Amino acid sequence: MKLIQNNLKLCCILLLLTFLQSCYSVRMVNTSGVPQPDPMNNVAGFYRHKAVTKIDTVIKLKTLEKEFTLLEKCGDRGFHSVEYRNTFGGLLRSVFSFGKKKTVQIKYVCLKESN
Amino acid sequence: MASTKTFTIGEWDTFHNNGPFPTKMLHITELEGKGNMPSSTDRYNDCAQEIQRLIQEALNNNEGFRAYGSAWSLSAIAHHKDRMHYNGNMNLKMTIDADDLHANTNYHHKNLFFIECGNTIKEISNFLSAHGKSLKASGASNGQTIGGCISTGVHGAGLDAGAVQDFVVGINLIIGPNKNDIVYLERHSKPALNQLFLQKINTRIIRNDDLFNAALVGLGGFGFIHGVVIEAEDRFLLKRYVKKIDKNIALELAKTLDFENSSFTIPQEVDSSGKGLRPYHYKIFVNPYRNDNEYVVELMYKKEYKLPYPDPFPRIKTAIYKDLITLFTKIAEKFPKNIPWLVDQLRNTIMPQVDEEVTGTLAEIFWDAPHQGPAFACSVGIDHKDSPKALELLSKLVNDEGPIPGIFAMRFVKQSQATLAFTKFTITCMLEMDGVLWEKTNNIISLTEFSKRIIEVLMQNGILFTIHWGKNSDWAFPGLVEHMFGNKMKIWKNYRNSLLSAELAQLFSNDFLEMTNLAQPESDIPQDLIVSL
Repeated sequence: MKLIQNNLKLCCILLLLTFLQSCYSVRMVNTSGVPQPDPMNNVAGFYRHKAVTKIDTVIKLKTLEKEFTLLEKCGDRGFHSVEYRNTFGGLLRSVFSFGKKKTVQIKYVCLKESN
Repeated sequence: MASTKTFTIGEWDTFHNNGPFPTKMLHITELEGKGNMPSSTDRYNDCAQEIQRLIQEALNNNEGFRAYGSAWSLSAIAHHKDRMHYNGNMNLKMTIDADDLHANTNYHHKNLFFIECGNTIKEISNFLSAHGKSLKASGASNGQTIGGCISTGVHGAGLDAGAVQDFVVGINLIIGPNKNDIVYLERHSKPALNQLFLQKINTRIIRNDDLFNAALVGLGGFGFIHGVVIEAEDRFLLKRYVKKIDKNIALELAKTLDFENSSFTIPQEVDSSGKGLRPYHYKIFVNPYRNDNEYVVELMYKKEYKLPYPDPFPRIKTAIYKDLITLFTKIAEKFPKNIPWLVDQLRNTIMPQVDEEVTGTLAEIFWDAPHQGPAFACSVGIDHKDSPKALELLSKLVNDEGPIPGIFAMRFVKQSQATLAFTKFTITCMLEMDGVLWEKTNNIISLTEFSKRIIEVLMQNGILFTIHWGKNSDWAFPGLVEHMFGNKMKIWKNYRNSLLSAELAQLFSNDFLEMTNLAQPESDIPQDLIVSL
């Protein structure tokens, strides 16, 4: 009986957590890359002690423009990781603006300078 | 010039959230750019001057100073209440030429590398790999800096490879603000570098086995480790197997390490007469809350580096909800009786997949370990012959006085020559419990209380033990270090206090060294202890 209760408890929690996730992220990591450190970044999770750059903006395209490229700087080193966040709100914005307004939520970490 | 940014931080925390600890300020030093100073030795010397300036500043203010790297230690060993120095940007790496070698050395210059303190294991592995070389061993992951690794004794499960400090053959320390305070230590019985090289890094040299061994696992107390010379070896592959085997066989192997005569063999890893080969790595996972007849074991065998080999990385790496870990902890604190059930639910995320086979380099096998929330780890070193008994005692402890939200693992490591190495037995079994960090409530004992009980139980049962310097324990337990190391504690202190002036010994102390009675000098320090031999 107790086991069933416990299992139900866990199922409810997992369902709740699932419904709360109305958006998702895709993170790409360079397997041999060493991230640029930031000892002052005390967030929990993947970015802890990493120097992370966050981009949270809306890109507006003109009538004849179809795509865009974000120009970011990591020196001559390259990226350690890039995370793109897809949100339901962002999708709606794109749909209702006929693809002219793109919500962009990105986090990236550069490679540590090799010396 | 190398430059330093200083921040007033108020508090500082470890990577695994074992603090926060009150801290006045944090220095972050960056090297001079390559463009402005092309020579690596010039940049290294320039950085040494900057560190000496910071030490002088701390002295002027009558404050302490402590360097740290990735903050991966779970104990307070890296912490200082006054001035902390983050050295992760100090990551120069240099090869050693044949002309740099000592005339009587047995080392091959192609295996020696000069590594600045802030290089992480992953950076070093990348650099060595580009030269066709590999570290001999690492911890279970790769984020620790070399300075932090050797100061605390980071180890893997290399039966015959030892811990990270065991392949260090030279240490360059900054022990004060003056010119003569840059000192390079080697073993006199195993010299590596000659005067020509050492002149390039503006250092005096002391060749002395006992001093070197004392400074090797120096707990941050022997000064600022600026660089080390490591001995690498030819790049190799590890073939990793995860098996579920009869627990009596797993523990018999722990006790004897006699893989040749064990009834357990892996068909691909036997000699021509069918006897089991000795693995590079042996690890046992134990869920103390299940009376399993079988344990999950991990074995790795060393292979020649040969291309191609299957990609050891899965294409996708998933992680569980962070909130789930928080929830787990909250349930554990409020309803500790649910811990065994919770641990069981998470077994697939905390134990490796059985029958998994992977081949990769050392760096690929012991890869990144991201932050997964507040964590604890208690790790005791015992003679491997005592390991089944110790496991039985500590399993009983967590069941009788716990439960505690974690599981056990046993790893086996070759003896170190470092004076205060916790891998002090011929083969040390590191018996560790890892898990999520919890807060004491009316229902569950605190981590310190649990750690104290580990010490008491092992003492009461006559099991000789050590404790991992970078892990959680009741470090204030009276006479703990004397109990673990006996006379070696005094030897370590004598060498430390011979190398450092009283003022600088104080500067490089911290609460951890005070608490463990390692900061207080002995009264009868022999003369000429640190002469170069």
